[in-house]
Amino acid sequence: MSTGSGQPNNQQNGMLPAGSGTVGGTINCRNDDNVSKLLFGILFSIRKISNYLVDDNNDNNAYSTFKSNTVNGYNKVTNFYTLNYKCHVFETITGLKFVVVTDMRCRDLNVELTNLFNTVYLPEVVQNQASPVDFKAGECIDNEPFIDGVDAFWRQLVEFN
Amino acid sequence: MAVYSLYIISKSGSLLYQKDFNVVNSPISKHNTNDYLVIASTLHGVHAIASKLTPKEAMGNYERSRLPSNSNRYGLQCIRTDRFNICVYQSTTGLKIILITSKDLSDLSVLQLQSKLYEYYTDFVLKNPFYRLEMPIRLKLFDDKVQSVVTSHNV
Repeated sequence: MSTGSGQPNNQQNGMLPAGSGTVGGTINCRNDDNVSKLLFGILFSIRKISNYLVDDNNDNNAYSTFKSNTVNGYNKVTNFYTLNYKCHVFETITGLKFVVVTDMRCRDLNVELTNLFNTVYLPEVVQNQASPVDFKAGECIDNEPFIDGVDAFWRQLVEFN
Repeated sequence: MAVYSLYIISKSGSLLYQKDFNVVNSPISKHNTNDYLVIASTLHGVHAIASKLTPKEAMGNYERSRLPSNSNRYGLQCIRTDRFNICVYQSTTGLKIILITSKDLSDLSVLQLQSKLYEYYTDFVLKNPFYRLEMPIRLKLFDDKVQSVVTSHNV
């Protein structure tokens, strides 16, 4: 599932509980849910903290207002977890976020999220002439090849079986 | 194996104690007092939001956790970033002990250190007759104890 930078509930693609063995699930049904807004909020806050803590704010010159290191994800958040669930985060340079919520004992899925971006999102959304790349508030990715691609992608992982 | 900084946050979210440890190659930069307050209250909020985010199916997963039982059942446990981990410990009374550590520290050893710090908090802060609850901790003895237990960890 992916969440755009501007709006909290831009594009989400169903909660697929990896590792629980459930086949099916729902797609785009929680976009207006408060949960997705909270998720965006928490990601925004922890990204800010993690960049802020490493940021050298001792230089007070005028050039320090633009920090190229935060643009390039100088200190990326890889995941966060509670004792109940684990949330893996992959963020592109443009601020597009790919998030997957899994069981606590799941291995790190950041590489898989990068692969998802490269093998599914890029060809099916960005390079797809018929699909919009920029979304208004309330709009979501609803093109079939993307949804099927995401489905097929998660199914092939060991966690899903 | 290093602990970069320590935050102690009261149950209402105010920062009681903050300490940056002198570690070689620490990724944490110096900030002013105001920044520490902002970081502490953000972490307090994030901890609460994380428990709200728990999926229904995952509600009872904490029972299967291999960590020794602690009172942080639903809240945020750890944030992993490229350069450090932020680990949260919550006592039964809602006091949070947050450690920013290097990435090679295991969950268990962080938890042990945090419970040790909590023990020091109860012994040297709460039992101090001059300390008033919910006020910032400025006690020399506690400071020394924290410094020594963390330095022994930072080898």
